[in-house]
Amino acid sequence: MTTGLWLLLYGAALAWLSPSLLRRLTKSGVSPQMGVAAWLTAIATTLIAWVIALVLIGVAAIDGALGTSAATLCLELFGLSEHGGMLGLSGSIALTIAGIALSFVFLVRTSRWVTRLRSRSREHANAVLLVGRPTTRPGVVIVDAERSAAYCVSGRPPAIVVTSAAWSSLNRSELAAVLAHEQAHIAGRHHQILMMLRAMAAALPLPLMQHGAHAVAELLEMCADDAAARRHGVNPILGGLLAMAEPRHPVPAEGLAAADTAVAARAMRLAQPARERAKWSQRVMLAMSMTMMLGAPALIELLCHH
Amino acid sequence: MQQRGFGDLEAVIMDLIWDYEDPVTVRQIFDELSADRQIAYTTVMSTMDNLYRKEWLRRERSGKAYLYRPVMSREERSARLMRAAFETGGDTNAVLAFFVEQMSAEESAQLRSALRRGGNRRR
Repeated sequence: MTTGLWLLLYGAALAWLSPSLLRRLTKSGVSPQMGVAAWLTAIATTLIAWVIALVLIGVAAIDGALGTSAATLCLELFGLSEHGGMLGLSGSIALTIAGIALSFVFLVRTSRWVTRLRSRSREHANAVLLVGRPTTRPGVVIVDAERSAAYCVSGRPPAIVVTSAAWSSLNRSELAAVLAHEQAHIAGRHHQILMMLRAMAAALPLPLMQHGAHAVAELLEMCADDAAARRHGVNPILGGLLAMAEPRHPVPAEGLAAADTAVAARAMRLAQPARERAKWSQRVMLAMSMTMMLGAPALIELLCHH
Repeated sequence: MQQRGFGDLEAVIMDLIWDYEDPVTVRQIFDELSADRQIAYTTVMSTMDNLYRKEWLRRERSGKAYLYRPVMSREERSARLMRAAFETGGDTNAVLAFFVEQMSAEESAQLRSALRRGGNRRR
């Protein structure tokens, strides 16, 4: 088979098979930043592999129809030429047209979703800043609600909302830690990443996009936890997590399985930070998987031409 | 609690209008604001016009001037906003990053017992 087809298959393999592997690798949140990087690498590699495949197959199709073109010569210089292969001319043309159509739909839908999410977020930020009572911290407002919650939303300017229930139930250091957590989201532009991923997941419902948006959201929470813990220590942020995750009707804690919820995972990694060796082995694993994902297309190219 | 900065004039004006019982004119708000800051009448007017277009204020003509009143009380507005925020969980509309999603009773208990076990192991 030819490079273009292999790349198509490779992208599909990443899109369908990589999520479960990546989830297992990044779930513990030993190194959340690298976890985010690994997910983004998988998504980017998939899209890039498909785009290159489309270009290769498209050039081969044009080539077949019109004879050798300048583009082919250019690709040949880099050893990337395609020669008909097993697809045949009509197959290549059909595949190219379908690919271009799909890319177009994907781009339009993604940009629509980004626009929608961004404008809704801005509206929300603007509204909470109008309705909330200002605090001594710029951009932080208190909004009346019975439920204890805190969140941030991007906008111009972005806003951090603390509900009145949370404001009165958290102690000073917990509150500082929670605000540091939210500020880390804003400073790290986490919303922009989430918006993009969510838009892509809505535009292209593949397992990688769906799981990626979800997993990256969880990992970014961990990144923000780390930022808050660095400034205020572990205990205030843990206290804040426990205070705000408290449901209205507590139940006795007998006979429950290991912590497997997202919040539990966050709390556990704060309470029991991984040892240095575990951290390093995790980082090496993630670095290797990213290198493999990025390196595989080069390998495909090498194998197809030798 | 603190006074709002100079930048968020919309918020300052909404604060004032929510405090009034009766409908207000731009002139009334301008008089109130110019007592403690340098501000142009036209700035107040255009800001209130903005709030009208954003459907935070409604207005009716009375003689030469408009009378403005809030579309919703502050309480209604907050309740609506918070309901929207909690319902979507930031999933469909705005991208909101909650510090913690609301947990079920079971999840919370799970977390506590896990932390207790973790704490024991550490000691």
